[in-house]
Amino acid sequence: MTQLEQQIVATLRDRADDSVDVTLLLDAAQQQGAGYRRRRRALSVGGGAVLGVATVVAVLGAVVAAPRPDPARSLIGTGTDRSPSASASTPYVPVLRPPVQAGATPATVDPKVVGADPTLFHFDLADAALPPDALIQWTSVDGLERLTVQPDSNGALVQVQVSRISGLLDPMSGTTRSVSVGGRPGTLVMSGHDEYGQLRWQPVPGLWAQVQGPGAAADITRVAGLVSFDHVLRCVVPFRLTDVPAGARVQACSSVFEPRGATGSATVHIGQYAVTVELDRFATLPDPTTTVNGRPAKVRQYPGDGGAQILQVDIDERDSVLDLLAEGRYDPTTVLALAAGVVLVDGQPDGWPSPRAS
Amino acid sequence: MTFEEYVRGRGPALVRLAVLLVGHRQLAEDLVQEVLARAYVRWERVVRADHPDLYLRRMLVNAHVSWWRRKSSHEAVGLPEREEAAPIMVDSEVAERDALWRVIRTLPRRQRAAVVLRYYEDLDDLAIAEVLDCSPVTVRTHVMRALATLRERLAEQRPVGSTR
Repeated sequence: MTQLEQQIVATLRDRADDSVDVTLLLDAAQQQGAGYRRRRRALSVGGGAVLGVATVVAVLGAVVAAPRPDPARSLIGTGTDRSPSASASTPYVPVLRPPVQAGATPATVDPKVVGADPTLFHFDLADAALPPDALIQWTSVDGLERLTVQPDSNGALVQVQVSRISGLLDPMSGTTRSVSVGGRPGTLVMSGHDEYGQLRWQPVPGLWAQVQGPGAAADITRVAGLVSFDHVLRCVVPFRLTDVPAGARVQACSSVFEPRGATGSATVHIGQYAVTVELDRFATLPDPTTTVNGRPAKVRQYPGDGGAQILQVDIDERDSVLDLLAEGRYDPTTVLALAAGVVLVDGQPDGWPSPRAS
Repeated sequence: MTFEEYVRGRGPALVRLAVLLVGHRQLAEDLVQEVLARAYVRWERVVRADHPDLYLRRMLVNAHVSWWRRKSSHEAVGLPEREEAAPIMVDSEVAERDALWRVIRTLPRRQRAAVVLRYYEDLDDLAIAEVLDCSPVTVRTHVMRALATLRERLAEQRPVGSTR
């Protein structure tokens, strides 16, 4: 090793070596990770992960109470009919995608429709790339429409991303090569030992699409060729929001399908905060601390990303848990009223509603 | 290996690596926290990989470019590129290390990463290539160019007559 190299080693050690509060790092990473998990709505099979948020810091004294004398009940009301979840009476018929929205303008006609309405998906993936035993998640948020296919609970993800803005797609890094997708030029990046690829192309001017996942270049290119843009799908969720403040808008929507059931989530933006509503199938709520509309519930408040408080409301729905997560400068009373106003919907996903804020 | 076991065992090393990549302690901790959070979401897949540590290092190195840009563009406080106050020099060796560190921070990011991985993490070219997702030849090229740059800039900073 040369003198310069020895100096480099010493310099780097000097600069790097310092104590690290590993407990703080661990807590922060877990909390932030839980936030990512929620925002992406990557439902784990079994749904138990929803209850896995590690830290419960504070209790809303005015809201959480012993199960009977519940101060929130007077705010929430009890008149809403909380119908049982779909699995209670109706056998679930597995599906791979949400229903087609008839009459909607497809991306091939006008790319500007992509991302404009978070309750619509302006692309589709052929069945050949959608394994029936996979966890399939369709999501639209902030101008990005995304399909995630996870072959099993531990399998590698395959994603299709579509947006009018290329910057919203996952960044590509590595050596690029040119490919063709449906006669359109595309850029392919392979990483590792050609074991993971990203392929980006423009199906029509003004629209960007990207496929990424494990596999060889030929696999990635084949999946990209199975993406279509000539019809529109409707994001559906197994609930209706009946008590949403005026001025609220739907910010994100997700429909999730797995072999034994389907579910969905919706994020509603209200003033300076957002509330994500999700029904977690096959989940149970341990240790409820209060009730909402007569249902056992748990209300928690804890620091989220950056330390800002998050309000989480979990309501036991027999074999599922209705979960609400408020982030930002939320008003607990409004969030609880919204929670009480969620009406579950029975039946197959084709008959479910799209989330509406009003 | 659980996520907690990994972070308790390797978290400090990741932070130190990030410090050398980013050049700022607080930002390094933020970056590691973000990378660990993303790994937490997919931890089952991460531990199934042959070398979770390689996976995390790769995430860290790859993340820091895009993350840096985003951080820089959104936080116009000048923090990322802020020049740290010059320490009080106690001897010439400390002064030289300080000067060397300042030059290391000016290296292109891939070169800097290669230098840090070789001289701090003590990885061989093959391991560095896996982290940087390039060939070992490219790694050697990065390191050679970095060393050449360091020699040149340090020489420019030395007073006339210096023999080192």
